[in-house]
Amino acid sequence: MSAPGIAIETKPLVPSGLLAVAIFVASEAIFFAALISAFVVLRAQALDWPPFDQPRLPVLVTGINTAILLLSGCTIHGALRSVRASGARLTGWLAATAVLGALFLAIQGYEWVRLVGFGLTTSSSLYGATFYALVGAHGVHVLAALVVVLVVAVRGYRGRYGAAEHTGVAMCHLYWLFVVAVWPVLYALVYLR
Amino acid sequence: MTRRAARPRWPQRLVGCAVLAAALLPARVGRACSSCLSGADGTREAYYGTTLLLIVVPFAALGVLVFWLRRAAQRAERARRASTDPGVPRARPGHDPAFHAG
Repeated sequence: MSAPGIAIETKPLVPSGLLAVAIFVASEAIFFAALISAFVVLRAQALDWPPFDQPRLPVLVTGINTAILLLSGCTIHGALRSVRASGARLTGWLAATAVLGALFLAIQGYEWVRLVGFGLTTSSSLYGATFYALVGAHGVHVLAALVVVLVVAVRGYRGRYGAAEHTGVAMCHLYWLFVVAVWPVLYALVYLR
Repeated sequence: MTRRAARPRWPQRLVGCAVLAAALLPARVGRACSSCLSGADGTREAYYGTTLLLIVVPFAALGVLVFWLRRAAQRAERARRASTDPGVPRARPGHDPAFHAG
């Protein structure tokens, strides 16, 4: 029992910011589960999927793009490991993550432009609407995560993070890993089945 | 005030049962669902599967969060013991248990 008037410094079990991101990621998981559910039910009700007059999705290119995003999951993990150790190569790992994320978005964007050109739009069919809703929602998340990575990279470059304090990197790491983990599920569901 | 003599109720019940039987016996199995546009097997399976998914995901998310916090608490406790008990190996310099919870 402590004596009255003596303040005891207590450290939180988990940094508040990290806990907030974890709760946010949990809610995002439910959001994607709802989108996936809508997609699965609508596809099951369709007579032909994809409709015969709609273009087929680029399975191979998106497969390569999936590998790129999975690789970015490794680089963000490298960033967290490096900041835990000393923080010497943090900016390099984060820059690599940002480049891979940007490459993923660029390839997705290029494929979408081609698909729109072939006639697959949000209003062309239920197939197009669900495709852009599901894959588009993920793309927006990757874009948001990319902005976060860039902000953390700049802060890391300025020496804000070290082995003792790196909550920002841990938050960024958790969110990026979620975005990476969701994509293979969407790829298998939308492109492969 | 006089009370009327109680009449036997069994004829009314018998008629009621007969009406109920007449309504139910010829009925077929019906499938009605505001979300299903067809009674096809694929649609039903998709509907059941996604219902299950939407039930499981929130609990799974909550479970992972609780597991993660519990593990962080265990690591913090180990670190606290290591700092007080000289027999227990100390944590690496800069190794914060909270950041290793995930």
